[in-house]
Amino acid sequence: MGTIWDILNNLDWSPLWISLKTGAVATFISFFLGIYAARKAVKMTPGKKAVIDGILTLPMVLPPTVAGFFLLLLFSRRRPLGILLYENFDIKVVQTWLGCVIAATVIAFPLMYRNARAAFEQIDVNLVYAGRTLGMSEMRIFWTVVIPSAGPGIASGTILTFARALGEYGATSMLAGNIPGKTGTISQKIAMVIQDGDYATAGIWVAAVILIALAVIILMNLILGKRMKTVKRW
Amino acid sequence: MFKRVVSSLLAVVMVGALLTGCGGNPSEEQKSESTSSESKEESEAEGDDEAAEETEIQVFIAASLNTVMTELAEKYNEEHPEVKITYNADSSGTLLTQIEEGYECDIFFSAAQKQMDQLEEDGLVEEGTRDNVVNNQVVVVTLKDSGTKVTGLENIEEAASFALAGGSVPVGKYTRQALVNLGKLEENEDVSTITTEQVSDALGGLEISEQDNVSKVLSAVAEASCEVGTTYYSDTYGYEDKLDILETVSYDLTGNVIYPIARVVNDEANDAQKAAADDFMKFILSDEAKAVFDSYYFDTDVE
Amino acid sequence: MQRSNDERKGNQMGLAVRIKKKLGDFCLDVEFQSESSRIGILGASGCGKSMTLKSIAGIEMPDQGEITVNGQEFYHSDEKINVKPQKRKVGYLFQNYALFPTMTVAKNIEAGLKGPKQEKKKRVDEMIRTFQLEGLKDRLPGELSGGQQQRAALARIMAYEPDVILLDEPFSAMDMFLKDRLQQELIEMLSDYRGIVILVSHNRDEIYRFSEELIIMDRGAVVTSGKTKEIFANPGKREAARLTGCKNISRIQRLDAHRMKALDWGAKLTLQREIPEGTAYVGFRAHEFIPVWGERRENCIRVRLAGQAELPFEKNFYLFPEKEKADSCGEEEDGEERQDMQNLCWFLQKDKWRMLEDKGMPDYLQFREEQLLLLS
Repeated sequence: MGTIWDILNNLDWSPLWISLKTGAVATFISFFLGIYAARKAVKMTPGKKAVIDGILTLPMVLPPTVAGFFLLLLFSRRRPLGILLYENFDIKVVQTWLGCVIAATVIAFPLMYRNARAAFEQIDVNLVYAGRTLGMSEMRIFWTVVIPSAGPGIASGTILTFARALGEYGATSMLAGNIPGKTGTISQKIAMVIQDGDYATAGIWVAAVILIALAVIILMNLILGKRMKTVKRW
Repeated sequence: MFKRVVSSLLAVVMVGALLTGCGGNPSEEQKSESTSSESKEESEAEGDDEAAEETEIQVFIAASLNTVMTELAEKYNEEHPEVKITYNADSSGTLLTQIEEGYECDIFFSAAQKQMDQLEEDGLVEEGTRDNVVNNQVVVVTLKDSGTKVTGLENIEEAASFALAGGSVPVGKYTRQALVNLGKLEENEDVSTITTEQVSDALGGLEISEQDNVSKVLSAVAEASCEVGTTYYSDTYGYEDKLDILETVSYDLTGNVIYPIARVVNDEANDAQKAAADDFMKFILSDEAKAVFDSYYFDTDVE
Repeated sequence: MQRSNDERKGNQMGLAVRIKKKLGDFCLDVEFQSESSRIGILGASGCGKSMTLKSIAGIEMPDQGEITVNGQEFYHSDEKINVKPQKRKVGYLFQNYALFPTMTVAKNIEAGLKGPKQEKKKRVDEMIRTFQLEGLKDRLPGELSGGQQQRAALARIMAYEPDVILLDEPFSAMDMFLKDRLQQELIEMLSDYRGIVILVSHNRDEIYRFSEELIIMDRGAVVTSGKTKEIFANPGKREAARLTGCKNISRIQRLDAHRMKALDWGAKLTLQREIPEGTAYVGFRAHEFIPVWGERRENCIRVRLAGQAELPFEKNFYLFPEKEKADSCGEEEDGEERQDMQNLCWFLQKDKWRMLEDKGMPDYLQFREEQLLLLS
C-alpha cells in the first residue's frame, strides 16, 4: 500500500488532462457534426444515403491504427494538405494536441452520426409538419421539437462518443504521437507502463479511466434523464 | 433547457483548456523566444558551463527503451537543466513512418537496423551521425513454476503454447532467424516474411499465438496465456519475480540485435537545438550512459 | 358550384383548389371552389383527402396546379409560386394531434406565437381559459386525456388566429362516446371562429353535422360538390350516393322518359317526373321503404326475407327480390337469372316493429317515388 501512495504522489498527471481535454473537445465537435450529418442524411434519396452512410461509418469499421495511418498521410507535413496548412496558417496537426483531437473526433464521430440518424428517422413526422403550419422556422423546429423528441438517441450517441474519444489509442498514437505532456493520453500511458511490468501504475491509470468514464456517463444520464419524462419504462 | 447541456459541455472544455493551456507547439514558442533573445555561442565540451539558453529536443525512441531513456534524461538534466528532452515512444516502424511524414525529430533511437536503414535511404539521417548504442539479447521466458519442459529454442516444440511476435516485429524476426540457424525452419532470404503458420508447422503443429509487439508477448507469458515466449532480455526488467529465463539466445543464432541511434534532419531546429541534440547523443554514447544501459539488462558490448 | 372564370378570380373570400399529384397507384386530380366557411371533404380511406388537405396547408406539394385562399395564391405551379407553410397562416389539426411531447401544454400553445414575452404569456393564458385547460398548463401531452389533448391542440392552433383551419380526421381514432362529446365540443369551440374550416372524414355523420358545403372524393377525384344537405338529399352520382350512406343501388335500363327497369332488383319503376337521359343507376335509402301487405301497388317489389340483424334501436332486414308468379305489369319476362339479384336493405325503427308483429313480414316493399335517387 505504501508503494501505491508513493506512486500517486510522484505521478505525472498530464495524461489525465490530455485525455479529458481531448475527450471533451472531440465530443463537442462530434455532437454538432454528427447531428448535422444525420439531418442531411435523413433528407437524402435512398441511393445517395447508402453511399454517404458507408463513407461516414468507415472510421468505426477500420482498425484504428489503419484509420490513424490514413490521417497521418492526410496531414503529413511532407504532403500537400499538411504543407498548405503549415505555410499559410501556421497550423501543424501531426505531433500536436490538435492531432489528438482530430484523431479522436474522426474515430468517435460515426457513433454520434449513427445514433442521431436512427433517432431522427424514428420521430413522428407530423410533429415537423405541425411546427411548420404553426409558423416555426426550420431551425427552431429542429432544435426545440426534433432534437428533444430524439432525446434518447442523441443522449446515447453523445455518451458513446465521449467514451470512445476518451479511450482512443491507435489513431491518436499514429497521428499525434506519444509525447508525454503534449499528446500522451491515458491509453498510451497504460500501454507503456505495462510493457515495463509496472502493473501498479497501470492499475492506477485504469482505475482513473473507469472513474472518469463512470462519472461522466452517470452525470449525462441524469442531466438528460430529467428531460426525458416522456420516455416510458417497459 | 437544452442550451444548459450545451453550455455545461462548453464549460468543461473551457475549464480543461484553462487548466492545461491549449496546446500550441512548445518548440515553436521556444523558437521565437530564442530567436528574439541574443544568440549565445554553445560550447562544445561536455559538462562545461554552457549558456543557459533554454531549448527543447525531440527524441524518438523505440518503446522498449522508454524506462532506461527516462532515467538517462534525468541524469542528463542534472548537468543540463536548460535542455528539455521530449520523447516520443512507440514501435520503431510507427516512429519511422511519423518521421517520414514530417514529424519534427532530432534524434532517432531505433530497436532495429531496418528502420534506420530506411531512414538513411530517405535522406533524413544527418551524415556521419549514425552509431550503434546497445545490443540486446533474445531470451526465452516462461512464467515461474510453469512446469514447462522447454529449456530453450532447441526444444521449443515441447511447449504447450508459444507467444511469438509477428515477422515484421524485430524480436519476431530475430527469433525466426535463430530457428533457421538451428535448422528448425527453412532458409529464407527475408525471415520476416515467414508466417506464424509456417513456423507452427515446422515445429510440429505447435500452438503459436502471434503478438504484434514485444510487450504483448511479455503480457501473454506473464498472464499465462502462453506457456513460453521470446522477448528481449531488457524487457524482462521489472518482471524478475514473475518470469523465469529459460535461455539467453546467443548472437550466433539471432544475429546482432543492434539498436542504432542517429541524428535526424530537422529543418526547424535552430542552432541551440541542434547543438543540444548533438550533445545529448554524445551523452547516450558515453560510458556513464553505458553503465545505466547495463543495469537495465542491455548489452553495451558493441562497436 | 360551377362558376365562370371571371367570377372565380374576382372572389376575395373563399377557397379555390385545382391540383394534380401522382400518388402510388392512382392520380390525385382535385378541383373545387367554395365560399362557405364550413367545408367538409367526405371519402373512403386512401382516396386522397388528407393529401388534398396537406397540399392546402403547404406541408405537401402537388405536382401541378393552383391553390388560392381568400384571394391569396398559396400555390401556382406555372408561376412557380409556393408559399411556405410557415407563411400561410393555416392551422392543421392532425389525427393524433401532434402535440410536441417534450413541451408543456403552455409551451405548446405558445409555439405559434410571435412577439414580446409578456404578450405571448397573456395570449396563452387566454387560450387556456377559453379551452378549459386550467390546471393543465404545466403538464406534458403524454399526461393528458384524449379530450384534453384535443383542446390543447386546438388552443395551439387558435392562439395565433389562422385564416384557415384544417381538421384531418380528428375523430377517427376514438371510441364512440368520446367521439360524440368531442364533436360537439369542437363545434362549440369553433362557433366564434370566422375563418374557413375544412373537415376531412370518412364518416358521413360527422360531415353532415359539421359542414355547410361538401366535397365527395373517390380514388383521387372529386365525385360531386355542393351544399351538404342538398347532396345528401340528391347525391346525383352513384359514388356520392354510396358514400352518403345509400344502401340500395341498382343499375337501370331506361325504358322511356318515365319508366325504367332496375336490373339488379328485377323491378320496373314508373315515375311522374322525367328520367334524365344519362341516368345509369337508381338509389334508394334503406329507411324509406313502405311495407305493403296484400295487393300490389305501383313501384312495388315482391320480397322474401333473406336475413336480418337486430341492433339496439333498429332492425335491419335483408330481402331478396322475387319474381312475380304472374307479372301484373304485363311486361315480358326477360328470362334473366334471378341469382344476379341483389338483396334490398330495409332498416326499420324499433317503434315500427309493432306492425310486423301484428301482420308478419310484408309481401311487397314499395319505392316511394320522391325518394328515388336518379344517379349517373
